[in-house]
Amino acid sequence: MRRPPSALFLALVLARPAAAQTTRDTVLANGLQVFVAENHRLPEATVVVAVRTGAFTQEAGQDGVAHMFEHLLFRAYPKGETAFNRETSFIDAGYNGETTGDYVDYFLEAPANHASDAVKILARLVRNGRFSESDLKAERPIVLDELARGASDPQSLLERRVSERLWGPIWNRVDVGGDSASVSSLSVATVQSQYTRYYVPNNMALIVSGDVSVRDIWKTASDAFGDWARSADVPTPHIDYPELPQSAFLLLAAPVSDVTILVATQGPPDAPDDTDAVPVEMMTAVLGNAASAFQSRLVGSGLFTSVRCRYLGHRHDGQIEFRGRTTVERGQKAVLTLLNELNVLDAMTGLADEDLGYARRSTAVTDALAAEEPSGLAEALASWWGGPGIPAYDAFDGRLAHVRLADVARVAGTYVAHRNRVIGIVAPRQFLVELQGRLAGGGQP
Amino acid sequence: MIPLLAVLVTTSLPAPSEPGDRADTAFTYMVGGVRVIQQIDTSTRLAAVGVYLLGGTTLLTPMTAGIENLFLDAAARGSKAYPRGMGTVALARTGTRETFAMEEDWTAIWLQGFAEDIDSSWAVLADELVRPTLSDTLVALARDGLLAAARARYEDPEQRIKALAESVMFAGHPYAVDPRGNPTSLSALSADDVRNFDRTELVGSRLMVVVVGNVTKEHLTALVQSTLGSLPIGSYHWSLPPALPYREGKPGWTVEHRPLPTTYLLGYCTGPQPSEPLYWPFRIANSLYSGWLGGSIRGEGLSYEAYAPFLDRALPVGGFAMSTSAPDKAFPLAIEALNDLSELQIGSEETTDESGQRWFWYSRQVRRDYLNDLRDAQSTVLGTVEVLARAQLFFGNYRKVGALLPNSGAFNDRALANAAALCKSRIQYAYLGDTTRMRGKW
Repeated sequence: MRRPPSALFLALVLARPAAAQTTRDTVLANGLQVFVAENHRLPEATVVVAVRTGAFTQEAGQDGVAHMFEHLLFRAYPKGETAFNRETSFIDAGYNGETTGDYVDYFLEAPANHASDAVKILARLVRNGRFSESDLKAERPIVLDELARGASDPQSLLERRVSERLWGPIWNRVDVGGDSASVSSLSVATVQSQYTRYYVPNNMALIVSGDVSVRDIWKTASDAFGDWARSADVPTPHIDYPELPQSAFLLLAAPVSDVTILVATQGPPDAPDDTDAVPVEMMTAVLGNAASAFQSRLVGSGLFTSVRCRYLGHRHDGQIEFRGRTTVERGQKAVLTLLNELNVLDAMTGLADEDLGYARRSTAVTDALAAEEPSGLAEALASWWGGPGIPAYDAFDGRLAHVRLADVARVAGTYVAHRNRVIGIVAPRQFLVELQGRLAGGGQP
Repeated sequence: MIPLLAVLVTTSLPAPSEPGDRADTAFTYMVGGVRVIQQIDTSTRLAAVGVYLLGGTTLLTPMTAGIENLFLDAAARGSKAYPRGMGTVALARTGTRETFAMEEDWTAIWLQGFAEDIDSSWAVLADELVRPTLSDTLVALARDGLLAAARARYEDPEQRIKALAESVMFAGHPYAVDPRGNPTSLSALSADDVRNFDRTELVGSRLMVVVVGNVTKEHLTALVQSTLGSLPIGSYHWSLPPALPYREGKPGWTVEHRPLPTTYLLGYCTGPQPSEPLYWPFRIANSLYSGWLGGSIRGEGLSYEAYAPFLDRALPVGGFAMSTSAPDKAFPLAIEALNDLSELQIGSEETTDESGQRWFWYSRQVRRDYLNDLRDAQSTVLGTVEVLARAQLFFGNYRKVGALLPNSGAFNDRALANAAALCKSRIQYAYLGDTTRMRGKW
């Protein structure tokens, strides 16, 4: 059976599929949190086990260890990965796992009448992590090929280099995939000790959505996980998030025909007690909306072929990105124009309250479209659990409705206009040489 | 393109409802020479619109590759009622999404949004098609954007190897033309070419409109009548593209050396058309092959991603795709699996030998995936639009949604073996990466 590629760099997606549904939750005596969202639209169920570990728990030199877990755990299944494949086939379930900055999750999508079986399979999966040298040896080249694919694409390489520069000394706390050196040096002992520390019931959530009953799932959860002993509380690593000392250019010459600029700044974390994450989310929605004056100046004018804004909010860190694509002919002017726009972003030039209304409308359509696909709900809930928490999911619409243009201007100033940034550009070599000359001469658009 | 009915994602199988259920509530009618297929769904606030410009690559040449793309992009930048990009702004204000999809057999324009906004979003779409500005400036702006996209497409290794493989495999066939255009064709297309396309090719007989959502027939009829219904009807008749002529001889290689961290390998073979008896065995065999590749090549630690892609077109394509740092080891395994596939026996749950068990479970999963994917597609308004359109265009009747699923006879050992043999006889290879890694095992 083919396991589809895992999502290495999954951003917290603030779409709220099937938002009208009620999510019921309980906590087992051993600390395992259980969330159930009934949705009877289709006879399906999605079962997720999420573990609060990820890039943020990686010590220096361990880059990629959480992701390696995700791969290895299937091999560590009782009687091996073949048994896991067979058991999931018996219940007609598809499966996958994903690793993010905040959490690692494993999920099964199964017919609703097999939801309880799916819970039991995932319980066996996460409770039995016994890793061997041979498993690590077998899985390592697969992970390395996954990383090599990213390194083969100049755009992916740009993202990685910019992020690495932005987070500097704590890059290991952000670097989900790792690199060939760190992945090659991971030992079984490291993997096993990380598993022992983080794969405990009081550091996990079981999330089930679909055509299921709360009562049945709670009972199955208790049967499958209830006898798993609670561990000592899992400490959150103390991380000193350093501010970027000064803005930096990162110029990557590559065999490409056009110019891509990626500007990244440190944004607020998407933490339970943070009040800036929602205004930042609104800021990226407003600036990304095709109706906005920002898009009109940069894309409508023909300077860029596209400019996208996104906020990668995690529980412990946040990153704001502006990615523009342009041609070599317009590139010099386009790059400088974008940088000037960002310097005065808090002026919100040409933007008005109605832009927030359009962004809210767009979000409403996104939510409605997501609600058509109920299988995505459990996975979305997992990302909220790993990030700002399920209560933030419930409160999101209300908080979004209260964001005003002044709030957007404030976060634009704090996190973009008056913030040091990393400016990464991937382009043909000659373009970069000319740009360097222009920047050195204090070039203006 | 929506990954409709893709079998690469493993999902679940509940007791299936009859696949034609939702299609049974759909109906069709003609408005001013334009075929309209509609399904009214009052249970959703959403509506999806698909306007299909039929013909695709059969009406393109290497010189005009990408002209539909260029026309639509330029039209979206300005039309009589929505000059200077005001159409995009109008859509953005309602949150409605407009998507263009250039495919080999047709070009689709999709709208997704709230049904209550259909008047305003339809007005934008229809004005783009019926009264586009197509000034030199707007065409130039559109061309710049599409050229950048085309260059990026041809630079991304994963995309590039597909383009390389298709251009060689379909040489002399319409599918050799990239409907999105390539840097050469897009650079050469002028604003006059685009305006001429608008005058001669935008005719009612080339259009098909599919709408799903909470919209009444009277309402939709009025919208179409006053807009697309005013176009000349023309004399276009939809037909499937020709089959690819069989070429004798050993499989060919298309090779491009690049010093990349990994290598990309592709094997493509064309299959029977959707209405042919061997279509489903071909597709099922391809899915079984995908399962085998994932289990074996990944299991050997040779690839992060090894699978059998299936390009669901009027002339479908199957085969294998992978990235690997050891192509000399992975490639022979892929070929060996294709050979095995021509002798497979699915067996049953009671089958005792390992190979039979494996194929049985793969086939069960494949069967489930088809059902599941179709049901999932029909659970969304846009997915339903696509299902209805494909049933109409591939099988001549939007009600034949059941034909988008295999019948039980398709899971026949002999038929699957024949399908695998067909792929084997037609397969062509492509390679992108450091050629020394193949160690001469071409």
